[in-house]
Amino acid sequence: MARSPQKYRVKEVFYDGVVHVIFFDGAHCLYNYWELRTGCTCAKCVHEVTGEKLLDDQTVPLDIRPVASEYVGNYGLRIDWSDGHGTGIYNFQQLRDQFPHKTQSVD
Amino acid sequence: MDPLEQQIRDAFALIPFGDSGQNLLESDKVFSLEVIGNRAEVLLVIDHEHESFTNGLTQGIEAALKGCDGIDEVGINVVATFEEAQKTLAAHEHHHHGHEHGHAHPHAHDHAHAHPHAPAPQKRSYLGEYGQVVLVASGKGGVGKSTTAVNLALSLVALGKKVSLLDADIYGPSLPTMMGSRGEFSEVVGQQLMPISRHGIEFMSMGNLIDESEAVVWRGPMAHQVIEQMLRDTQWPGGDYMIIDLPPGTGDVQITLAQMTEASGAVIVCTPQDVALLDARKAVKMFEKVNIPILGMVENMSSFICPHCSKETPIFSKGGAQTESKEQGYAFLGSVPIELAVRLGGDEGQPVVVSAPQSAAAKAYRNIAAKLVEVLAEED
Repeated sequence: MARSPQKYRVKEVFYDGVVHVIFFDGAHCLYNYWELRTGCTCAKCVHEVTGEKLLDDQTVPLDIRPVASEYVGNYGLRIDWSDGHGTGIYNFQQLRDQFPHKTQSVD
Repeated sequence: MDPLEQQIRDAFALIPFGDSGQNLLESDKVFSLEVIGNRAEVLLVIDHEHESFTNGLTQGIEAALKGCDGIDEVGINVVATFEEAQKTLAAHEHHHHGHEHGHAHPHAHDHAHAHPHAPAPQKRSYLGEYGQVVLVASGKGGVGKSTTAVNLALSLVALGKKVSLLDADIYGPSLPTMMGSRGEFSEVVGQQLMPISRHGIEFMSMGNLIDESEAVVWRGPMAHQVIEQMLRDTQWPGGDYMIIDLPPGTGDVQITLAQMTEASGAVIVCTPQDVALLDARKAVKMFEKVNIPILGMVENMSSFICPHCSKETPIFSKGGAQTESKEQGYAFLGSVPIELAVRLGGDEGQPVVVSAPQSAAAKAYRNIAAKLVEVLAEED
């Protein structure tokens, strides 16, 4: 049916040193803080027109971590990072299909 | 998470960081926290700029920690820089070497572990007081989107549902004309806007907030703000359905609504011509990107019904939307004929479902509403 696929819908997100994202189809994906922060696709980090990366990864502290976050509509997660950056929206489709992650089997 | 850690974190989230508007957790000033037996040791990094907050903070922290299970003693150490904190902690770790540690061990060389983890994400969407939030969209203008939104909403009312309407077309609001509220202004009570009520529906439109002769240019960020204001500051009564009439195309308003609401889905309105279908496809693509399900398509102006002889003429050809929805795998909600009564009703503030309930168009809208209810039931 028209319903957006379960693999792109998120049931739960939590943080314990990595970002855990549990999707509706049961997949449990783990994302590294630093990789997620440096992979930010917001207009401050990636040029909107050229797609050129504007963020210098070296400026992101190695101990970067989320301090707060919120769901965005049906489709994403916005994270406030410990370096003060907070404009990036992580689209669940991108997190699932493109962003590097580890998976964990659900108990 | 360790229950004590959670308890401490909850307590810290209630401590204000001076007058900064942040709480202690958000301020990121707790460098480390260690619980050994019944004693908690806290190391704070407070730079000179925020020195004046120190007394209030240490008192707040001491009280908060003593309120946590099993903590009777509290030691608080305040330093001015990150480097000092690392040194202090390294010395402290050395001092405690061999002792058995309790919860939440900090590691001088691994700053990340010295902090509690961020809480799970918050939900911050509007219109949660409605069972279903349905966006009525189109790829291009002039296909009868607002007419569909209004008649769909009224048909849902006829089915016994409690319905509200939001005219999100801030560039060219047409709800005031169609609902018969031109020249009327939404009342402001305190900080809240009161929706206007007509035909059993509460609604909001830019056309009832500013003078209709005024042309307002909404640049991107302003469009975002004005939509947020209509979502947040309106005293919405809540109910079964919120129907949102979008501006045509794929722009700021669509994205704002996708970000600020948890929409149940979108209804795509188009005319039968190929070019309209092409634009409709773009709208569909946009909704897919933001995980908003396509509830189905409505083909408007699908044929002309002669008011004299009732003969049906497919002026713009017919069935394009039906074929398209079949190919793309979503529901076809129905087609609406061109009828004089639709236009007249719209212009007079008496939508056809109300003014001419026996007309072919009114029947078509009622069928579309019934189909929509069905599709939404399958979705849940």
